[in-house]
Amino acid sequence: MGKSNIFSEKNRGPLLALAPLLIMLLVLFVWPIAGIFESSFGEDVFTLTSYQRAIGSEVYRQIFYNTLEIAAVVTIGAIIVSYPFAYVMATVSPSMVKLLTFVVLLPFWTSALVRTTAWVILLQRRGVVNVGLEKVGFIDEPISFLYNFSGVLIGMIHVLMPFMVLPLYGAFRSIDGRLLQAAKGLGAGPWRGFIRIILPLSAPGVAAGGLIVFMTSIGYYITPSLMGGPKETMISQQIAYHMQEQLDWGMASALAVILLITTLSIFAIFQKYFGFDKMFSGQDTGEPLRQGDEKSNIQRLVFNISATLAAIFLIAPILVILPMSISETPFIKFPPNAFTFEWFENLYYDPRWSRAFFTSLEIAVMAVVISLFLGTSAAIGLSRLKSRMKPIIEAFVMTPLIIPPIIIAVGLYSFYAPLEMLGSSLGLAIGHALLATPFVFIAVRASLRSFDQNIELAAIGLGANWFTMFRRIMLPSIWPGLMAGSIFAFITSFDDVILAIFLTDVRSRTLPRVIYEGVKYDTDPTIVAVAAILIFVSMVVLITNLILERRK
Amino acid sequence: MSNNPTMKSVELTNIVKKFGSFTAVDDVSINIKAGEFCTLLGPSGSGKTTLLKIIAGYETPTDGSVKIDNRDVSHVSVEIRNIGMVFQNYALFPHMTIAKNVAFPLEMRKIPKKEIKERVQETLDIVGLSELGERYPRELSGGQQQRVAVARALVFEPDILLMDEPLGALDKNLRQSMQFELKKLHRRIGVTIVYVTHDQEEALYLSDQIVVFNEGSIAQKDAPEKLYNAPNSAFVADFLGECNIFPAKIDGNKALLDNGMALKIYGKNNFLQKIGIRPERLIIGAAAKNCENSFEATIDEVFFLGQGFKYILNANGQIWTAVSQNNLNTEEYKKGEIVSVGFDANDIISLTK
Ligand SMILES: Nc1ncnc2c1ncn2[C@@H]1O[C@H](COP(=O)(O)OP(=O)(O)OP(=O)(O)O)[C@@H](O)[C@H]1O
Ligand SMILES: [Mg+2]
Repeated sequence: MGKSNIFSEKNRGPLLALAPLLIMLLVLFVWPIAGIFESSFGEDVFTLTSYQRAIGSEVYRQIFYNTLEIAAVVTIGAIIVSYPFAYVMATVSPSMVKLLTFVVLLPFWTSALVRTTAWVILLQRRGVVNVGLEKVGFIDEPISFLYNFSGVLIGMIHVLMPFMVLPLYGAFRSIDGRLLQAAKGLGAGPWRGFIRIILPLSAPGVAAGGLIVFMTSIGYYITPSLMGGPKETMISQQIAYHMQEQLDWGMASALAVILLITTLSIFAIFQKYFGFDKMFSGQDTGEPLRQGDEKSNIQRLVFNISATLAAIFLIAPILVILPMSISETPFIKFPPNAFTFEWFENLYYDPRWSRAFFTSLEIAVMAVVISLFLGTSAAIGLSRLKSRMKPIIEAFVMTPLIIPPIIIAVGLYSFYAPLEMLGSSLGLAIGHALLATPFVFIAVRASLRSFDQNIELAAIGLGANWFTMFRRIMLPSIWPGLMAGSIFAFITSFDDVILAIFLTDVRSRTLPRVIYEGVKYDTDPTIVAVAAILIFVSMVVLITNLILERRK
Repeated sequence: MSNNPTMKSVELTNIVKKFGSFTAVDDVSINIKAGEFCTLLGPSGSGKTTLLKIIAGYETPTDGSVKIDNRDVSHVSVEIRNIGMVFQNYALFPHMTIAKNVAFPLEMRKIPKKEIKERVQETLDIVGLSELGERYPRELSGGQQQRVAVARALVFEPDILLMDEPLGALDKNLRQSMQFELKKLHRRIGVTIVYVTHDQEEALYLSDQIVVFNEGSIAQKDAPEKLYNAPNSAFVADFLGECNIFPAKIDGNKALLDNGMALKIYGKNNFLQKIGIRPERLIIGAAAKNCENSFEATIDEVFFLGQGFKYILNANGQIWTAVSQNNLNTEEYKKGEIVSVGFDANDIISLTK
């Protein structure tokens, strides 16, 4: 019905609005990835050597096994930690919901690098955790949490937990609380009611969150690199290793292709059963679940204790950084024996840090501007497009969000190298815009959905031309979406290590890269000050956001 | 606006609108006189909104022409046609106050600030919202929002006012009082109005002319009384009010129904396929015997409607509906009773399809 031809006259405007993003994706995303495919089959003549090595050799087999094992354990761990937390979050009073939302969203809005850094500080031999356990008398000798399997596990579960909690929360919210009352009326006790009603009905949420966590884990880089030892090497690290140290482009490409295909397959399963847009939204139906008398006291106690532990796990490492940042010996000792502002002064006076800070700021601002333009224009274009191709285009626009960043980094590296764009701020900003545009796109699309197209028609009918309409009517309506999108874009840029490692040189290093290298190689205490500032900024942004949302 | 009402006629000739292979509007021609209140009435999906959008210029017709005041505007764009439109959900700008909403079209026309202020106030007075200019749309009730939408569509003195189911979202009482307000407003400013609704009572109450739509084409168009009393098809008879409709064979002054009943009928031609009798024309009880047509029937069901009773009657296998007024002297009949039913030959509506 009038939807047949995507190139019909009606679609001209929408296609024009979509074009900048589509062109950028083709040039900086599809084309380089096609290049990776090509070089995985040899430089000049077609060969399968790289793949044969990847599959045949013991070393690589061990790395594939590591990757899958870590991803699986992380996924299961995230489910176990998140399930009671999300359940309690869906059943408590509204004011408690606000608190718990803050507890999930603060980590969500804080850079993964900063969180990993926090864990490294807390978990070292003389860190908060070991000292605390010793004081209580649980242990005599410090436990080594870091540079082994447990380090990777703790770090990754923490980083990925919000992706598990949010879909689960959505799933619990869509369970009608009257079902439990009915089950009770039919003779089911509290545990049986839970096992027979809640568990099966929340299974889709578990599956959705689990797939997302698993998919993201497989391509993970920073956390295993900072918190794991050599035995925990994951595939992304191996790709970087081949690129940077071995200069074996063919092998790096073959591994990247294997990682890419695995990720896309998982995503295809996710898309088939759940759909991308449902990722974070649960529908409230009927009466919400409540922590009422349908549960036994023991059951309530078990859930509340597990949820409290999960909440402490989520938020404590982030909060502890704040007092640590003014400790004289942040990396070495806890509790601090003296306080100082030295690390903050360092940050300001040491050119290595201050330069990195301003480079990052500059790059983040550029990335926000670029992604804001591309994402907004594409979102408006897509919402006005009439074509059967629409869902395909939408999925395509989202792909940078799903593809492991290491693959994007490798692709951009090979694209920029011949253009001599390695080390340029603009090049990195464009890369960040590539990662950030889907967020802007999602946010603007969501706010456009509540923008009735008749309002646009009305404005035009009342005498406004399209640009006046956009400026005076549409822009104020999608403003919250633009703000949310910009913040996410900014965080994405300010959070990125992987692209920065590949695309910057010593002179154009960004703040995250300096932090990363600091944690990995020399444990400069200034890092704690940087982390504290970044956490503080996230808190301010999040609280402002929550207040603005309430005002709406 | 009060000084010089603009009144323009609208002439639609052979309008066709296709979406791909689907025809949403099929060869529609309507003449709307200057100052007339014309209603497009039809079931959901019959093409009313599409036709309204064609008049406004939001959609271009696949074929046919739109003339306003005898000028062909088929290729004139929306913002130049000078048409006011009230959308079904009002489409008020949520981030602007009521006064700003109403001022918007004047600002677009670069009218001096001072004059804008005066005209906004004047128009808000007309719709009875003078006190609410500083509020936001979400702070108004549904009926008030509707009046803001009307004010915004009128303030720039449009040649024509288009309204797409403007009362659809309101409850019954509010809808009735808004109908009354609308009719007063139309009398007062005299602007030509094209109105869309699928509520037949509303159409009968408001309009000078009703155009009944069915699947994209015009089923019938006429003044309300004529349309009600002389529908030409079973579709129109049934859509406008209730009707007892039966297939019939005409034989001279007799109409033969399927169950063998013969009804007296005047001067009807042999092309008739169906006849219709409005339920309120049926007389029940002793008086029925004096009618030109009368028969016995069993009462199958009785419904109390408030203002009257509705009877479902079974006459020899044929089901009839009758309504009676709830007067003090109306007799009440019980389910299962056998009663006489009657009507005059003139009460029969002849339907060609
Ligand atoms: N842009 C479009 N593309 C394809 N089909 C359309 C489009 N607009 C309308 N239609 C189709 O045209 C037909 C008439 O639609 P229209 O909106 O005019 O109906 P309507 O009479 O206003 O109905 P309602 O009373 O439900 O508002 C419908 O079948 C609709 O699906
Ligand atoms: Mg409609």
